[in-house]
Amino acid sequence: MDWEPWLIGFLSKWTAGIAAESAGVNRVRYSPNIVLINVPCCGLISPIHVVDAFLQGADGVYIGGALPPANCHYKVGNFKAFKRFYLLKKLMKQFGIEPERIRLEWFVSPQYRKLAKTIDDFVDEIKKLGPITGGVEE
Amino acid sequence: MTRYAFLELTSCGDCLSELYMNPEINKLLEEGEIVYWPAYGIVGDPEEIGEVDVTFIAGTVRTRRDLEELEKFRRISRIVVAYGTCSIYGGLNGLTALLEPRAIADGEYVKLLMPTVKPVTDYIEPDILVPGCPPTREVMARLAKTLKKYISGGKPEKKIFLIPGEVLCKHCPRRPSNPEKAEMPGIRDPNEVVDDGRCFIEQGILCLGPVTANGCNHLCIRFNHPCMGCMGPARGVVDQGLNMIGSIGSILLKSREVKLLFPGLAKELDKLRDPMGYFYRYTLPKAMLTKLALRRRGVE
Amino acid sequence: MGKVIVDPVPWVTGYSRLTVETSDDNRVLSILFEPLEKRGLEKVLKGRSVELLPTITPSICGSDSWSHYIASIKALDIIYGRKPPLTAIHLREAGLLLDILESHLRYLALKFAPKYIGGDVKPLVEVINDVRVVKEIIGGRTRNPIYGIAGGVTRKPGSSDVEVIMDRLSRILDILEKTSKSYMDKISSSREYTAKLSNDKYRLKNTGFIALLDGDGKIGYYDGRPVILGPDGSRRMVDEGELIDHLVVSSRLGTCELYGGRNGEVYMVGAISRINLGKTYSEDAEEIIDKLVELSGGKPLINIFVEPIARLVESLDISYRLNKLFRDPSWLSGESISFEGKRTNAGLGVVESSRGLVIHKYGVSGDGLVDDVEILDPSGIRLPVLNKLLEKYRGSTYSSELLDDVLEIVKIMDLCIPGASKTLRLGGVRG
Repeated sequence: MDWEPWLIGFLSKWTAGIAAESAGVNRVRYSPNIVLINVPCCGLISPIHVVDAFLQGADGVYIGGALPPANCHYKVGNFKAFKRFYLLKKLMKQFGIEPERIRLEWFVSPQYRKLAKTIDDFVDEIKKLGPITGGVEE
Repeated sequence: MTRYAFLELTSCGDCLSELYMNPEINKLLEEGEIVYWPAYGIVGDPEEIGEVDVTFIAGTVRTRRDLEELEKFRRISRIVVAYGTCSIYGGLNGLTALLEPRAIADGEYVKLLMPTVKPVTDYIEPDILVPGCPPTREVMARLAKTLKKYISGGKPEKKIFLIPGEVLCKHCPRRPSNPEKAEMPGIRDPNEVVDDGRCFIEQGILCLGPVTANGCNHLCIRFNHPCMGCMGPARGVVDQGLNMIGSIGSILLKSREVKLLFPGLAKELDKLRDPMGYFYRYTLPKAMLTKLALRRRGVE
Repeated sequence: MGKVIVDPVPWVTGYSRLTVETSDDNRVLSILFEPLEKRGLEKVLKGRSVELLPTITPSICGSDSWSHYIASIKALDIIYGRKPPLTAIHLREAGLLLDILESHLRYLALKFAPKYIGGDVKPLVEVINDVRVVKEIIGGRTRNPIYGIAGGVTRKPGSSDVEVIMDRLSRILDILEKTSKSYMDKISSSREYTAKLSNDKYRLKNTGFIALLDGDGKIGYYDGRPVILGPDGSRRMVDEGELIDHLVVSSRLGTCELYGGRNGEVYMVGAISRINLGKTYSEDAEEIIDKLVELSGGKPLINIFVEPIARLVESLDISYRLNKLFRDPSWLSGESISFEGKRTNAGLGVVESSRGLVIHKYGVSGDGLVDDVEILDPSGIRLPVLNKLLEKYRGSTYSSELLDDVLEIVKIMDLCIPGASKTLRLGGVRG
């Protein structure tokens, strides 16, 4: 199959973002199918951004926040993100869109290997799910 | 003499009869002439009707005929009024947006249907938009007043939206004294809550006030009923459901989240079993996720 | 062979088509009435949180929206295991009656009077607006009310509300008393109409009647039990659940084909059925019924042209009931919701509407989502009755008068296609 998924990742710059940087410095490879964007906090990512990403062709959306949850630089960002995307996944299911297309992962900043591994896992999973358009060529 | 047409597309079929009964509107109609309204015996081929001054359109586009009629009447009408939430956002009838024609009809009747249901505003530009399910008496009076201005000719320079777009919560009689501090204590079935008169959200009841335009003067709230979103999104709201999820994320159990952690929050969120039903009762065809789901079927 | 197509059929709410097929010697071979407005609203009720249904189902048929709403709320009562207090029952019943009244009056003012009575319909339009004001006070919105909750209502009218209600209700009754008298005078002296009332062509053959009656045999719009008057004249009470099967079977037999030698009986619902089966509350109403019996040749009333007058009778009777209810509003002082009760997994709500029985039956899974829905709308129940009436034209010589006659029957039946197309599917498949 020619199709390669492309994914988008929103990383909290205080934790997952640092992990991504470390992955680069340490030359840890991860799938090139993902485009990572550093954001101030994953609590800023709205369900609208995520669904918009899908509408623009993203096959999956990855969100990286801080571990433990209460460790958010802005205190509440991780909880906000969790509640929002937990609900969004439930909602997507009702629309017949696989909730697995959204993945949340939590990090302390040195965990760059975990970042690389979860991204690779996610890309594999999305490959199995197929394109967001459900196989319909655009 | 002002010529009026009443065009009823797929819907519950009552909006325009209600409009007709309104005394202010009725007065205008009496001074004019109704040239098309099959439900009340006035039939005719739109091609032969000639120019129409004002066409009231209610309902959604589900059948191919709906679309044909809609386009014809837009062409021959000076002013088009999209009347009722169905015509603007899909309304309750819009809940069927994800049903394929095969799920609704059999045999040759499948061919009569469009692949999905959409509001009138997705196909044509109306001049005046009147949301509500049904629009309130106050809004009907506003419509009569607006129409009077254009009765002898001309048309609005730009679309007129007959309700203020501000968010319902802004002047809500149940508005918390300090909205910044408001917290949703959980997710509850409105039938299980002994209403204490406070903000519904502060009682754990999903109220769409934070994402809905005020065009009803808090009618449901005054009847101790949470907002269902029938007036459509408030100004600045992109998608009623997604914006509402944003709000819930901010205020649900915010004082206890450190204790509950993700599993505790998940357990509470699971109590919302039908988010689609709660969030998109009146605007499903306009949901971003509907667009995505339809695209997957090759419809969009 | 020829075909005459009427598209859209006038005087019908929603989109439908009528096709008359004629033979080479110009005889009617068949008449087909097709509801073409397909919505599928019932399909999206499955999987919904059950508490949302009362706010969605009124959209099945806009002009009987309160009946669907109240049936839905009654089904919720059972699912939540609650018994609403008297205050709530009266307020729900009042709302239901007002909605039936509005629908009747619109039919009389806009569909019936212009052709058969003439004169000014303004007083009726005024009454309709009075009714709408009272509806708003009681249920919040004129259509798709919002005051219901499992086990009660969310708001009681205050004392100033009751004053407005009483003021409007007494005016409504006053005007209706006058209107019904003048209408009856006009009808009795109209040769055209009395001829129709005694014409065999308009008789419902092999047709039974169903209505909800309360304990003392009066029409029970809100909480009566279903009683069937069979085509053979037998009268029996039926279980509400049994009724669904009964009606669905009869709908299936009818489908939308208007010919084909089907022998199955069909059932009429609505005003004509109710006054055939039940007693009214007022003597004035009974007087009109006696007059009708005299004009149309005996009881049960089986001529379809009785229907408009039956709706007039009911309008008057409903106004009596409402006035009686609010004249002593001491019942308003009670509690409006009862929270007591244990959840169950099935609910049933049966009420009357302007066009007849509305039945809602829901099954709920353990997590509160609807997993089974059965809804009967009276327009759907009426379609097979229409079939039976139109069958009589088979073999007649086709003429424009015949077509007018057919369209007149369709108009008298006052169908709501958005509701009817929900229950019935062409080809006899259950929707």
